[in-house]
Amino acid sequence: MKVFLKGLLYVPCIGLIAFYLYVIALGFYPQVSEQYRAYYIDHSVSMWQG
Amino acid sequence: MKKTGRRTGENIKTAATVFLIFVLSRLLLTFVACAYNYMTQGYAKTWDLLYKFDALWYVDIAENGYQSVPNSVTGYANYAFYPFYPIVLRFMKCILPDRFTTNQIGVIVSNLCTLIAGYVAVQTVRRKYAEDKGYFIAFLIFFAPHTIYFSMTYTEAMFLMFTALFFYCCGRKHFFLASVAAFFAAFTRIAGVFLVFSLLLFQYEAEYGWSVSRSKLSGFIKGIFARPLRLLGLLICPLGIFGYFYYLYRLVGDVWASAHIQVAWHNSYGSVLRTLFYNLLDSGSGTSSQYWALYAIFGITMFAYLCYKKEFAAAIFGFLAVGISLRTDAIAIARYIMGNFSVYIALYELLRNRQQAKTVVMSTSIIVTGLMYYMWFAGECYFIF
Repeated sequence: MKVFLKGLLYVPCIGLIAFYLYVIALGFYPQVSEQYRAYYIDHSVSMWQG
Repeated sequence: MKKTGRRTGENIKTAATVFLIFVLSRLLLTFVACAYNYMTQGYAKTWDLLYKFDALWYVDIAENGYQSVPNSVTGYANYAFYPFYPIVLRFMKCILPDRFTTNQIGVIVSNLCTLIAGYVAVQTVRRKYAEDKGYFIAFLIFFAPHTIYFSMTYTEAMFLMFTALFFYCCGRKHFFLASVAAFFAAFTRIAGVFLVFSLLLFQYEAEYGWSVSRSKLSGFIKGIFARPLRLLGLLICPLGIFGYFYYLYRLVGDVWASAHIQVAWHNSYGSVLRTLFYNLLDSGSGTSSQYWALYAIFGITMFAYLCYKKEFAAAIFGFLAVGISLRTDAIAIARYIMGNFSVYIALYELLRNRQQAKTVVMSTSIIVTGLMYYMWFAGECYFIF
């Protein structure tokens, strides 16, 4: 029983690791406008023109 | 039974004393507010005098939620501010009578958090130094310069409370509870996420002391994976903040929006040394920048002192939490340093056996904090910002 409960605790651990990896992966693919990308991410323009 | 009763009595006495010091500190705040009203022939309420700068952002988030598009003129957006504190304000607004404004609720919540932080801090130092009364650390939390933010609608007080709880739980070796405190700290301010490194160091110290070898390190790492509760504790620390990042992706389309938006406020120097160098010698903000840079050096020195005292877990939290801000700029660094519980541990350890220095620090703190409140009310507060 104790071993089973201990094993069960790994389930949320795996879930959390998967969630963190998923969020980090999303960070590589921002879904934003061109203006947003240029000003906030690439810093290729110096003025926000939202 | 008798022992438990004695301990309860002792805890009540401690709570009463901490409360008394807290009331004295808020008496100073109210006195300065009266003095300010007298000097300006005004009748502003203390709540309203405190309601400035970031407090407006937190009230806006609590009342209207996060905006999906930055301001078209300034480029600012309220998602630069982390969510747990506004969530609490919104919840309290729902359960309290309508006569309370969101700012008033923020002031109440922050003061309550400060009081709890003071009490927990006293209990934390008593665990280490059983012979000490420990009230000096509560005094520092209530009176030290740049603690004025603990009495207004800012996240500093709540963040300090959770970090104090974290160090208290780690001191008692309640590591899972410490993880829960770290989770809330990181949900309040992103710097809280660094508590995960402190947690690892506390756990290592509990098992091996400060003796380090390859076999002990590998044994420690294996131990984490062999004990799922310990692993879960480490993994829940950043959950709140990752949840917020995911929310930002859904709202704005950018996971790192809260970091990217900072560019609208100021440019980044890119490294701690560059920040210190340019702020000390060559910054557009003049003396304010020099003050912040010197304050940063004070903070770093305090964290180095913690290393000297072998308080590595507190030191690493201080270095990382302040370092992440310094990578960008030194602006408002005094607030971040005095909102970091590690500084209070360092100051306490440094001064606990130096009665004269303690008296000087206490007297200076009261005068400087009174002055800072006045400057805040007057709005001439750029350097204490």
